[in-house]
Amino acid sequence: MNFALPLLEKLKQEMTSKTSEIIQADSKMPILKIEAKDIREAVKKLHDDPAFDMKYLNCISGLHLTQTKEDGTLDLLGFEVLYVFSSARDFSTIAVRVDLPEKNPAIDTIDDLYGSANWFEREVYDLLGVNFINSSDLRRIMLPQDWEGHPLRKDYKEQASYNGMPTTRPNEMESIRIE
Amino acid sequence: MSFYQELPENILVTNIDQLLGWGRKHSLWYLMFGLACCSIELMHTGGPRADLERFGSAPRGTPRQSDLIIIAGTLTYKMASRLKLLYEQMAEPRYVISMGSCSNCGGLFDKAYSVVKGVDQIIPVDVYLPGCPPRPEALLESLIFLQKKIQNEKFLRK
Amino acid sequence: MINLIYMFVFSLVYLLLLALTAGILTYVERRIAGRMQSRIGPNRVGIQGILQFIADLIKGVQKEDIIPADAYAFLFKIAPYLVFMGVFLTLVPIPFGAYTLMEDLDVGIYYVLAMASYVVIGLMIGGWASNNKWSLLGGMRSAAQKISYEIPAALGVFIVVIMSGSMNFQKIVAAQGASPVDWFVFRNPFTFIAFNLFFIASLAEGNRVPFDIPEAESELVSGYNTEYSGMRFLFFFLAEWGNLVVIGALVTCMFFGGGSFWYEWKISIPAPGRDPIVFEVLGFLWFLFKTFFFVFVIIWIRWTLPRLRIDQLMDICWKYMVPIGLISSLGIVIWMYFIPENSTIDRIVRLTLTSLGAITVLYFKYRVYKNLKITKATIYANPFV
Repeated sequence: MNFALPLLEKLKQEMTSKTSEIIQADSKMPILKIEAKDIREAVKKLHDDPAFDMKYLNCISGLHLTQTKEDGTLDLLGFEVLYVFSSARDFSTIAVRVDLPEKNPAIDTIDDLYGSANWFEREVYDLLGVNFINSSDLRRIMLPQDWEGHPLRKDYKEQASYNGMPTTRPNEMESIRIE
Repeated sequence: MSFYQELPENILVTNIDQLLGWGRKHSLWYLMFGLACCSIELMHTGGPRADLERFGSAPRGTPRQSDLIIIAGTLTYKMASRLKLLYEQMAEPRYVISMGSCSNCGGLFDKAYSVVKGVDQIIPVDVYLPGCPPRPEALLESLIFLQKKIQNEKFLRK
Repeated sequence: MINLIYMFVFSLVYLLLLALTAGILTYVERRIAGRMQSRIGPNRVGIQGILQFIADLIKGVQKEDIIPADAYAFLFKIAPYLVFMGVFLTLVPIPFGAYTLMEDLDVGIYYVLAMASYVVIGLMIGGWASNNKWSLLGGMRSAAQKISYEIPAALGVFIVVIMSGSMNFQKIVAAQGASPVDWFVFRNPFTFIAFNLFFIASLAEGNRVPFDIPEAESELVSGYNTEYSGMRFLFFFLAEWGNLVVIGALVTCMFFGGGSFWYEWKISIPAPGRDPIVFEVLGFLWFLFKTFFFVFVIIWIRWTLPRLRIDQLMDICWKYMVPIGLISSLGIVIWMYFIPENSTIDRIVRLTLTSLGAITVLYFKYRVYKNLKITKATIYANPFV
């Protein structure tokens, strides 16, 4: 029995803006797709409302959406940020999805509601460059602080060297290749 | 031929050199420094089956007292500066074994954005040990190889 | 003048002997540790790796002598020598035989306690002058630990001094006898407690496991010697292993009858002209055997027990050992007042304690052989592999 779907429909009803829609409704983890400006309202409801009782934030994951065109070049379609919440009451898991534009992706932080959100947000910021507005501590979490670029973007170009260390190594086998 | 030209091949100097080399090669204290899965094999090598201490190699916690650093695992750019610092803190004479494909050339993570493509881009390496990860026996052999190299060093006759 | 030369020669001999013994003990410890962990230990240089400590020494001499830029260079340089000197000086009044001792001090035990706490100055200086947070923490910990454990050790010594009526090591040894019944450890229950107090406190003062928190690798990198390299570090190293000999010798002297060999010791004290050279040598060997047995026990403890936390360490000292020590020092006075030496009760108590000790040892031997039989581990019975 899916506990999550009724909860998600309830959340959809209670949102002030009526643009949200439920996708993957018949899966184990239904997703509510909302606008970026509504994220704080939705998460606040999930966190505070005893009807939802989503006390645990599983993860925040980010995605760079692309499509390969006929000529092989990439068509960049923007970013997707997925918030997954769990309830300790009936172990139901629901997800909230936000689509962000390709240029200057930014979204409100939720790390004042969920303390653990800070590290997830830092990770998404570190690897994808999504800016979390009003975050308490938005630094890179895994890569060095002086790193340039966000490596999981599909259009990421690797630097030739980092701090004087070359990022490539000549292939020794190339020198003895027989044409 | 003057005395000073002939000194490097002097019999006394040669013998003392061999004695010093004998001391260095049988007392290679290694730094407890593991980066990834290779460090598990490094721990095995210190364990009962392939006992590194038979060769006089004891693990030390601080770089000041260790003679050998075994780079066991994948080295990322963030760790590279720390590794360089540790290496610079070690007292001369110091030796480096690069253990496993990742530290030799990047290995499995050759195309990754965050992995150093070989520790020899950062610090000089004495012995490269291939394998992913190498077995403890292989690490033992690389240690014996390093001992041979140390014995042939010209410490006084530079 | 001739006295001065004698002093110089003897102290040089003692120094070399201590350094050599400490060096060999490092090898012995590594071998024993190897056997306890089903390993072999160093066995490549010399016969069974006996030259391992010489190889370590040669390497230590060649190592670069690093003095960190921000360290206080003068204090950083002298700290290892202070530590080594503190350990060396404790050897002065210890009688290895009736005549084999450097100086027969009347305040022997007092002097040893003073010198043992002198070591802590060297450790503190080394920790502070390195200008390293791990070193400083290690130095502070060792100071706290050593000063705390002075008190249980002193209470253990106090009981011995009351029993023998003297602080002189010769007289303490003479107050005991050759047979286990006469040893202080089995004399009465309070001296047995005193032995345990003193032995545990000595472990703590020598920074040995389970009290080696000043150099805990998992918390502080290497404690007070983090910044030391090469020869300066080897001095710390030698001091630690030299300290083992001192602990073993002290325990042997104070609780296990010293070098008393049959009854010769008691005879030789009032009449030095008797020339008991054979008994002197035998007594010396007997003393060394006991000393190295306790060194082995300390190494055994090191590779068996895990490390304590700093608060547990302080708890053991102040909440358990000090009260027990105070109660036993009161108890020993009452005991000596009501039960004179060689009375019937005294003899019964001595015999009971001695046989309890013997039964414990025999039962241990039985268990060990039984376990060896069960595991069919014949290889572990052979020390040379």
